[in-house]
Amino acid sequence: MLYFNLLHRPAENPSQREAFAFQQRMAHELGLKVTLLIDYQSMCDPETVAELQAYARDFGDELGVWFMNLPPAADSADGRREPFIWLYADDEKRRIIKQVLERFHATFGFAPVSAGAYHLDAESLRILKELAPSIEIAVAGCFEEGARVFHGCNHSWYLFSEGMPWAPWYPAKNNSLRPAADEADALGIVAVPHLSRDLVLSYEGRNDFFATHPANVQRAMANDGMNNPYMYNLVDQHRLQADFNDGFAYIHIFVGPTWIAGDPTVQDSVEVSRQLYREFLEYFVELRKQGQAADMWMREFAAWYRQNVLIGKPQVAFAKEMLYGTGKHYFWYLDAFTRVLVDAAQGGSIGDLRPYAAQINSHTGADTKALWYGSYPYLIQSQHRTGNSHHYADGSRTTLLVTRNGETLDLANVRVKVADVTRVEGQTTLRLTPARLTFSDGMSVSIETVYRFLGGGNILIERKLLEGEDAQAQEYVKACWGVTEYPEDLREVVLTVTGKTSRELRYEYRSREICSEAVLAVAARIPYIQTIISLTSDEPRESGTAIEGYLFSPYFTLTMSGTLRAGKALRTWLKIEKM
Amino acid sequence: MAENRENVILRCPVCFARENDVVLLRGGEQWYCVKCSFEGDETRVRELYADQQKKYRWRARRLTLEEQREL
Repeated sequence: MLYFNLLHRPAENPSQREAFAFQQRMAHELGLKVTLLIDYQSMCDPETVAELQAYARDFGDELGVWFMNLPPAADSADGRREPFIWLYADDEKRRIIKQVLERFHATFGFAPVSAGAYHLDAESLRILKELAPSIEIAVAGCFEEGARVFHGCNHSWYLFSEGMPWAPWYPAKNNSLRPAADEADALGIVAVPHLSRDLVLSYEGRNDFFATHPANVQRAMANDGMNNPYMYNLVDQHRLQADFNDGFAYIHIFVGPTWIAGDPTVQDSVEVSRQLYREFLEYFVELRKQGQAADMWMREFAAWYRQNVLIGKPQVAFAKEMLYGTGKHYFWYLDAFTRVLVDAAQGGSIGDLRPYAAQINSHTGADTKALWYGSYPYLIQSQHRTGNSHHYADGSRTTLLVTRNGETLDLANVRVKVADVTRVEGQTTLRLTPARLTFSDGMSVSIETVYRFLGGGNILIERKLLEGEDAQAQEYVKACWGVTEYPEDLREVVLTVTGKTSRELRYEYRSREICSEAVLAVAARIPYIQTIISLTSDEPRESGTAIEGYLFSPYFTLTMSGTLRAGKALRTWLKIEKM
Repeated sequence: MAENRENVILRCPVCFARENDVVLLRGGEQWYCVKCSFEGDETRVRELYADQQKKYRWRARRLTLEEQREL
């Protein structure tokens, strides 16, 4: 079943009033439940307030708070310029949230249950919940919005919320983009993403080109006037996730009036934009008629989610590319300890890895260390940080290197697909189709990769030789830490090898290497993000290394080698732990 | 495409190819970009848009839920 929230927000200026009225009329004609998130300035406009009250009275629209167009500071002679709540200093967040909530209550006569902003950091959510215990649900982040959108909006859009869940989650107290581990860790609300993004293309490119918002698709020029099949393909990409998540799938729709009133980044006419929006909503109505979708007000969804989804429950997504025409597969997994992306088109390499286990304490704002960087830091991000080698050297990624007669082949250069996904209590298993590697002498091997996600930051990687002669195989993890596409300082990182000999190396960008025979573990301790990443084996492996990088290749590499033999899987643990 | 000719707004096709939204300025019949060195008339801009769209090979293809399951 697909659950969806349809949100509108009032016009920000009089020229868009008609567009907002059009959106509302259309949604009501279609019998859809609408949640109206209202900004402070709209609460101060009697005409808008009267309209909103009428919508609530006549159609049952839910009224909530949208943290934009914020109240000006009384002590500021030249007005308040910071547009977004998550960027204010904590004391100002409190003052603004209090003022907005008081205004909401004074205007509508009750306390809101729903709220939102493009991003709500942990401190904003904490203050919000403290001042309005009625709040049950909030729009709290944009999946994979960050470096690419910053570039794409002419380096002027300071919203960094990468590394978060793609679907609803229970935000943690100390970091709103991290899913809470349990009730004690949870902030006490349900969070939903702002729009539902393409689970392939928002990783590879701009998330605001590929989202459940017709105008975003138009902005990407992925439509041809009224011909816009991709928009429906995207909805169905999210519907597909019900197959892997106990029947649950979710879509968030939030279209402001600007987008159907001639926004400069939409190349189509207003008429086309409006018709596309109508047809988009009609698709949901059709799904509802078929019993395959349910529209809910946000408050209603919060209650449903609390009743049906336990805190800490892992989520997965199986995404297939369907605009560029490759059909390639990505697999996402997340729980309270880690978020992982497996890129099947690179032999099943990990393309993105976030250490939720570290429970990094961070929020945004003018008085914070993070400033605007709300993104949950990565260990691997193969888009921002090189991934497979195709220029100077490779960057953050994982792979399996297979060697025979002195020739080494890289599994990441072979495209595979997801063969199947199975989920039982406490374990998600991802099996990939076999990868065939052919050496220069014509001999080949066929290797199957299986990932077992066992929770607690424990991922078991199994490599099976299905065909071919024995070969040397090296599990390879090249990582770092980072938030954007630029490197961060690695000098406090400590590399360790545990085996026949155990050694330790403090990172100084000197290209050094430590290794051992009969190795049991290779690891990196990263104090900046309080994370330990390691490769371990239940039985001693032939050798293992930890390799320090250098300034022109600012990463560390962990490897673990063994012999790949028919009939015996090579099993390696990838572990993410809190320091 | 845009019905109201006075309100035509175009994005730079060269910057768009780099996934950057930059609105073109107009000088007579020519449109020019302040971010890069692109300049051209509306026909040229739209030709380049069409070129960009070629990367979306399945732009006109509907993939239903069932078809996505099989993909």
